[in-house]
Amino acid sequence: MRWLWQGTALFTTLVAHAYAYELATHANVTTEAYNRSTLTTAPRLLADLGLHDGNDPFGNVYYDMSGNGIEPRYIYEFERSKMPEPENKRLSVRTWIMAGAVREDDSYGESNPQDDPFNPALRRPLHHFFDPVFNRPLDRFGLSSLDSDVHKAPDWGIGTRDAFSQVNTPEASRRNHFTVFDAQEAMYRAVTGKKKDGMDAGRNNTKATESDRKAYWATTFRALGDVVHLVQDMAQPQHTRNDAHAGKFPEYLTGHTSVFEKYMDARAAGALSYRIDGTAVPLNPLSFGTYPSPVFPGYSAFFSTREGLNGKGLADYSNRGFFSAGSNLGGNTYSSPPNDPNAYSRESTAIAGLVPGNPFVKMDFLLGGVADTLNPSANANIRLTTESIFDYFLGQKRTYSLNRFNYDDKANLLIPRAVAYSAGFLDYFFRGRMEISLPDEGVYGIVDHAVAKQPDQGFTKIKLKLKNTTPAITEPGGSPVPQHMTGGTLVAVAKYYRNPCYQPDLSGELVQTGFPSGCSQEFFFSTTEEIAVSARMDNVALSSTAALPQTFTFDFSQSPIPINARDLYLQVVFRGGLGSEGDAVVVTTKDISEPTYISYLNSTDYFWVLDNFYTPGEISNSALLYGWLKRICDSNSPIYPPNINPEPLQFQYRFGGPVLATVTLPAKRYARIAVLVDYDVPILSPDALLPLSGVCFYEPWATEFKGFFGARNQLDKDTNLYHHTWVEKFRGLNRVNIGAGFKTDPSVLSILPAEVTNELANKPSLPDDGPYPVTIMFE
Amino acid sequence: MKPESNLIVLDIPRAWMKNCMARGFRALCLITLLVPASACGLSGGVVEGRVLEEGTEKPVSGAIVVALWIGHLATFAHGRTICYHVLSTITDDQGRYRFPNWRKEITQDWQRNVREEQISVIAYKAGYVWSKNVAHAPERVYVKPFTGTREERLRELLRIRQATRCTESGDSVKNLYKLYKALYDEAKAIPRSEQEAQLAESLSDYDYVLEFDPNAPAKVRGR
Repeated sequence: MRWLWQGTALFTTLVAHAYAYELATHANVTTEAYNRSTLTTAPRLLADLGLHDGNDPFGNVYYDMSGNGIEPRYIYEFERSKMPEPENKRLSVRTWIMAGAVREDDSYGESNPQDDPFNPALRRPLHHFFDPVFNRPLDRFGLSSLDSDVHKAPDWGIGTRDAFSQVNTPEASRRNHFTVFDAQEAMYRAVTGKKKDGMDAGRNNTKATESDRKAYWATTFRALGDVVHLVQDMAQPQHTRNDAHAGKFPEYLTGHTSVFEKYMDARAAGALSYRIDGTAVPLNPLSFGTYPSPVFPGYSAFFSTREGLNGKGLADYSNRGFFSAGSNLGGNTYSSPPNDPNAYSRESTAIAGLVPGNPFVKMDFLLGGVADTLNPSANANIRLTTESIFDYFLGQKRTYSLNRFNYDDKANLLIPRAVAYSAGFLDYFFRGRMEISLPDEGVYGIVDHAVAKQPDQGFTKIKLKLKNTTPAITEPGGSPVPQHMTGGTLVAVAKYYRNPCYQPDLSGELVQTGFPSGCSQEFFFSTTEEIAVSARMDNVALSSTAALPQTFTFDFSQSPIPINARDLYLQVVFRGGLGSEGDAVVVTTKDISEPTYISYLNSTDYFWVLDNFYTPGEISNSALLYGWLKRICDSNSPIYPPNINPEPLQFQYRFGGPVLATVTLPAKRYARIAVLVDYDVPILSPDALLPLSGVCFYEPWATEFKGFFGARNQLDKDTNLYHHTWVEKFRGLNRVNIGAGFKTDPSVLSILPAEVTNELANKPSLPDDGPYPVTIMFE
Repeated sequence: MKPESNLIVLDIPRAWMKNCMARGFRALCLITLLVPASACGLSGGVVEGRVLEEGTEKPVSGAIVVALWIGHLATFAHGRTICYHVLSTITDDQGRYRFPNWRKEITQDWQRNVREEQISVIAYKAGYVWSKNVAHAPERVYVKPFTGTREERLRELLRIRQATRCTESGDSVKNLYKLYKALYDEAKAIPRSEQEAQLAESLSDYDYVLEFDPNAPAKVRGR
């Protein structure tokens, strides 16, 4: 039996092992890719998606989408156990991408959760191969008995029948529901709550809830994790040289167990030591290197650029540059690496301890270069294979095998590229950028609070400027490829919570000291996130090279942005052509003001004269006051005698552009509009009142009214502090921003102190008959 | 140490052969050497040894020792490493530990495709660290007093936690609870900064660490 044990020893030591990456490796490579991707490095990307900092909890549910069908699925301890420890604690963006990277290896009958609701017998790893030389998937005798439609990895990951000739055509009835197409669809649903066809995306075609949308976000990132898993597999020569590696009896049919894979995974999982080549070796964490993230103008290129030996895709690189277990030197049909042993320099293996118990084994490492056509560099003297005198199966001399020294050299080149190509792929997926700005009218929306005052009422029209700010794609040595948006749809989304304490008279707004009477903090924060979605605009194009933004008006009449919204964000979602991609989804999010109330009060029942407010009766009864006004008006006004009585006043609202609203207010009545603006930019003073009865004795506005900020009623997620614009009383009326028209001595117009407003505010209360209707002109 | 207790890859087929042939199927066993060992059921032999302090060779008593049975799960076109059984014990005054024979029935089809590969033995004791400088074998596991920073210690505890995951081991995963509880107990006493506290807290992700209950069912779903 001795020969048998020796043979077994040699099997574990010398025989070339096919390899791919295992689950902890995928999780670690993916988390490093995430850290390098724009999801981490671009300051505004996550905010543009409406995700704050990537730690938003999505919950533990995601959706498996198949046509119109949706089935909830859950994150399991299985995938979390493969992730780096601190990362799996939060179900964050990064965790969900890692979950996809782990679960992409799901297979029927294996130890992974058997929870695929649509294709329970699916063996996903069969679709993880792509030979760029022969443009083929895994090609193995008997494979069709397991799966009659095995895909190439790029087809499988992107979701098309052919990633190189039909990259923008999704495969109908595809079995993989975590493709690029699915990631795009899930993201669209996550933001809009709608499917691509405009139908509601909730379960059973109901309106999507906050939970549904979070599940779709989880789906988005899980799908991306699945796809980057496939990108990472292209850094495995076995996956690009048609080399199965099941380690299943009989191995001459299924391929050898992958020692390299296990070796890498042990390093990724933080194993304290590992036994390889017959010896226990201390393990170092995986080294991810600093290879730059590639930039390509399409998804397929990350796999292969179809340029033969000059290809720049990761499959091109690994196929061309390395041997694999089943396609080692002399045992393959590929021209690169060369199959002539004389094409290599040699390094004798006088390495102590390489094969304990077999000191007489003599081996030479064959050293060669590995060409990198994307970033040409000198990767010379790589231990590409090992020449030895033993072969496990045949016992012939001068056979070629791979051991940990070959693996280490390969890992040094392949792992950094697995990270970089994954990061570049994520960057490409999220490359679309847009920018929202105020329209010429100076407000995004305006409503008359006399009309839109109930919680189910609000802003039915949103106007904004939009610019495609997507950077051009420039490959190394190439020309910039602009990323125009073409033939797409556009919807605007308002994302918000509600103030459940809201009352039409604003008595439910927060006051300076906190929550209003009868409104507990717990109740105030009890609402869930909602969205309002505009009608869809079709055939939209946005040039990425246009100098000026375009103005769009969105119709929210079927889904108004409620007047009691708090924590309000305005989003715009483009779906359509972006550069060479046919069905991209681009999201931009802007934190705008919450509904900002602006009131005018006709307070001509008071007259400011000689540093005090007086009623008309008080002035009439005072020879001093009336005499003073007569003298002023004699010299300054054509109106005589002085008109000291209350009278209607005309106001108009304008925010740096055309007049948006007008109102003629009777005395002691007020008008109130609500606008949506940028909360962090001072609002220009609205134009104030015009006298109806003449130019003498009026004051256009209270001094504090000149320049103010949009309301901010919002939780700061960085500090966990709730910012609020509070309500105060003005003559007994709840006011936020108020301009009070009153009469005064024209000689003091420019020097009215702020205290005047406060003094007027404290005058006897007026009955609240509600806001007086205004005329809105916002087209 | 008994021959069948060796964790070396070379000896695994031998142990399997012994078990298999003992059941009277010698010819079949010889022919199907590469058939997954689990064809005869999932089982493991005795594993025993000592935990010693590097340099002094002094026995380390009271250390938690974990043995992880690592195997290859083979399918078609693809295979991967899994941990399919785990045991733990505590060293005696002489630093000795011993894991008995074990055997469990096949309860899921995939277990039939498990092929034994390695047994990984890991020792933990508060204030000690796994020694990287010496060759470890099951019969001699070396640790040494930890001398690094608080953060380095926390990361070491995290690494032990990560290295001892054995999700697919069924109920035997509960044998890790004692270790996880000990890791968390040490970790939570370390932090002084917020970052350190976060590291320590990441060891508390599982309910059974906080609510130590040897009879609690293994957790399946995350939060």
